Amino acid sequence: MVVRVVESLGASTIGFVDHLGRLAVFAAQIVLQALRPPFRWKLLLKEIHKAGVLSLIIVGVSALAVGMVLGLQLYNTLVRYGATGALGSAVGLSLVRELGPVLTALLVTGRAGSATTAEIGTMVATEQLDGLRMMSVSPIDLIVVPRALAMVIVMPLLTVLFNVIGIGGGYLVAVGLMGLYGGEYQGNLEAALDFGDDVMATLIKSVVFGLLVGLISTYRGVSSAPTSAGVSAATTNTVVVTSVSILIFDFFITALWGFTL
Amino acid sequence: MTETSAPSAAETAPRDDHVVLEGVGMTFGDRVIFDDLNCAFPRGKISVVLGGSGVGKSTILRLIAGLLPAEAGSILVDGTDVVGLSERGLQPVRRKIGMMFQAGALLDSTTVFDNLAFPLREHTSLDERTIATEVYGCLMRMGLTHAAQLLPSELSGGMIKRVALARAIIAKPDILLCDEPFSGLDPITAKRIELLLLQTCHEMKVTTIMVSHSVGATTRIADHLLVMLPDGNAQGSIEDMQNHDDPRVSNLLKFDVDEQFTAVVERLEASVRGGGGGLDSTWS
Repeated sequence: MVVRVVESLGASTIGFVDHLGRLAVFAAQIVLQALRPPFRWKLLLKEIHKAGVLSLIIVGVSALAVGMVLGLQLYNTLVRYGATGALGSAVGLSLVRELGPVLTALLVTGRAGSATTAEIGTMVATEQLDGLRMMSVSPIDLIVVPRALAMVIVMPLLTVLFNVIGIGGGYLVAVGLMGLYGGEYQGNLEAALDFGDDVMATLIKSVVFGLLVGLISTYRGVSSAPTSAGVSAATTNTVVVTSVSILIFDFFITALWGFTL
Repeated sequence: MTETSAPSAAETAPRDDHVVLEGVGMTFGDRVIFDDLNCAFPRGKISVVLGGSGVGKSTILRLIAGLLPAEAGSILVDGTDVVGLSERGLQPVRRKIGMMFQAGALLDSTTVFDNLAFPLREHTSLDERTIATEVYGCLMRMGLTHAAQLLPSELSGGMIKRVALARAIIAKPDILLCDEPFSGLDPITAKRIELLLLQTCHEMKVTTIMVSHSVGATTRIADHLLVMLPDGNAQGSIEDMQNHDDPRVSNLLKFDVDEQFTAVVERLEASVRGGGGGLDSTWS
């Protein structure tokens, strides 16, 4: 019994390290291919549209809801201490430092990351990637690089949008519902937010999260088993692994950012 | 894998082999697919690989194309050993090869036209007008000009096979690999694909290596046969194989499922029209 547990643990560890190694090689291939012509600008724009423009509604609606809920919750807390004037800074800092980049990355993972894995996995199952290889075209070049790069490009843009709409949602609650003075909300927010500290942190986080989503979703697609069950498992795996990775990386970036400033 | 009989006269005669596999070993996990596979495919001829399911027929095509790595031996494609080559190293070899996949492997997000134009756009400096002329010429040969703007998901099985064949030959390869070109088709469509393949291979003088289960089509179009058995393989011309010492090889070529199926259908139709007999008598 104990031997079996140890064996199973050992096999899982070896499998994990093996995947990490393959992921590192895959990442290096993407970087090398991205720097080497031909540069497929049209495909990149198409993927930016798919990952970015088509995610606008879910990101916008979620940001509005999160901003409004945050506004309500923080108002209920701050009003006990007579500090409702700090609502703007509380909503803004919560969104810009943490909720904006993390929630945007999780939303993009669920919408675009899973779709990327499913799409590439289906191409594996229907031998389309082998078809490309037989036409002397690298699937990394044609399929992977535009999708991975698109994630890195759209993530900061969507995060900024999430932050702006979220702050707007908080403003709606504070001013429209609770009757606070709009100038106070804005002024307080402007005084609390620091570009070098808060805004840069949100941008760096979103770029790192974009790299994670792009890398994991394309890797899981390319390495998925060529069956419908394999594609399904790879898609689920993308959402789980990317979401957990985002939360772990968020902790480390926040910790490192705090120490370095 | 070893030969089941001594080489025939045709095999010992000097021959210009385009693709040669020597001592190839290949496993999937614990399962040995090839232990010591030796075979060769003559230049400019149609070679057909026959054999039961699971003996590694499609694997041979994937090994030649470099889509699967051989674990031992050498695979010479037009004089270049593809074993151990990187993906980048394989690219010049693959430009000499066109491959028709069993399920087509067409890019499903682009139209038939773009599927055919893709290899020309990638590897030639032809302008769009010339590419369009080439693509429509190829589609016309396949009888598919009306399908140029359709997506692969809008095509029938036979049309997918024809588009796959068109894409495989549009860049004028020296070697054509076909994986089960007649599978999943009705007899009429299969016959049409057979004629297209025969016409294309002879017009372009391309070395064709085809995996097939269709004995009827094989005996009609093959110049060279590789019969794969669980314990070895045999190769040579149709005549060599029909007169082979191993009854498994010679009997295989006498068993044409297509013809038997057609005969059964004809008898069934006659039975229905005549109002007599029944399925029992038809299938007896």
